[in-house]
Amino acid sequence: MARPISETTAWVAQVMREKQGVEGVEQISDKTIRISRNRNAPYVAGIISKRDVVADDVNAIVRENPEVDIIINVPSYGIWQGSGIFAAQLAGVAFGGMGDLQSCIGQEEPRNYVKAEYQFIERGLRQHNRVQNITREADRLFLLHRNGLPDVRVLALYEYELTADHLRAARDRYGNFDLVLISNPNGRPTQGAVRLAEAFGVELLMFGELLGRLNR
Amino acid sequence: MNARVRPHSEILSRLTELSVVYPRIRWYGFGSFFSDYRSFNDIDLLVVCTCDSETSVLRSALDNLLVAWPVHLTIMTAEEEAETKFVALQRCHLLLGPKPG
Repeated sequence: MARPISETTAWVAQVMREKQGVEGVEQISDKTIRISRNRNAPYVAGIISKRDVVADDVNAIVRENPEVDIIINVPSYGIWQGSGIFAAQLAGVAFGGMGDLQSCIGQEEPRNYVKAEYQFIERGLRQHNRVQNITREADRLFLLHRNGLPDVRVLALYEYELTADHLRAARDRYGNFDLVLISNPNGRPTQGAVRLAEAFGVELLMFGELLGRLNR
Repeated sequence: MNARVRPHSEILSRLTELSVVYPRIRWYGFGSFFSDYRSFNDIDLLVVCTCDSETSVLRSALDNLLVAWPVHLTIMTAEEEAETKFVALQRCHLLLGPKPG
């Protein structure tokens, strides 16, 4: 049986109480916690635990708790779908996972938090001459609309060693994509991943390689 | 009881069940959850399988854990592990399974 969300929220509160920079954590509802910090004002987090996070999930939390600053999905395996990200942006709240919740401890305004990896990717892509527009289909999936060239779907995977299994799992979870960005600057694919990518007809690229690839 | 206890026991319980069915697979933990639990954000697990076909089976078998806890799962074949020397470089702790020869 799935764990009730209130238990997941209680567990997240327990994890955060043990973090450096946290003075205390209060569970204020089944799905929200208030984190008091040594520096800066407290911030409120909404807790989700789902395979896929969509707009309804975000709106339910924001409706019940308008003071929420960030909404996190606990499973690392979970995906923030595009509608969930868009709903969070509309509501003016940040989104992410457990790591992002911790990163907010040191942020003056958690509502404005964006994962550094996503900031880097989005800024780099938006500045590219060939990229006219970007549709954020999911947390790691970007559909790029290019000037004078066909759209291309890019999946960003942050792995130190990108394995064949990572690639297979990504295909299962995110569907089709054309290019994989290995967004960990120290990351590399295994030979198994390289062979599988070839079989999938997908290119594996580091960020500099991706920028070049977008020109053709 | 610290925050590590419940996920640790659930994860070990599930891996123990699977290690009976797949006795040649090696199961490792690494990262801050298995060293300094206070600083962990996710739970890093490595599974080293004997062949490609096992990797898909194992990922499916671990699905319930993946949607319950912040588990970051890396599944490799033995060939991939030998290529990357992941166990040594990431200082993985063998949780279950045969000690590598």
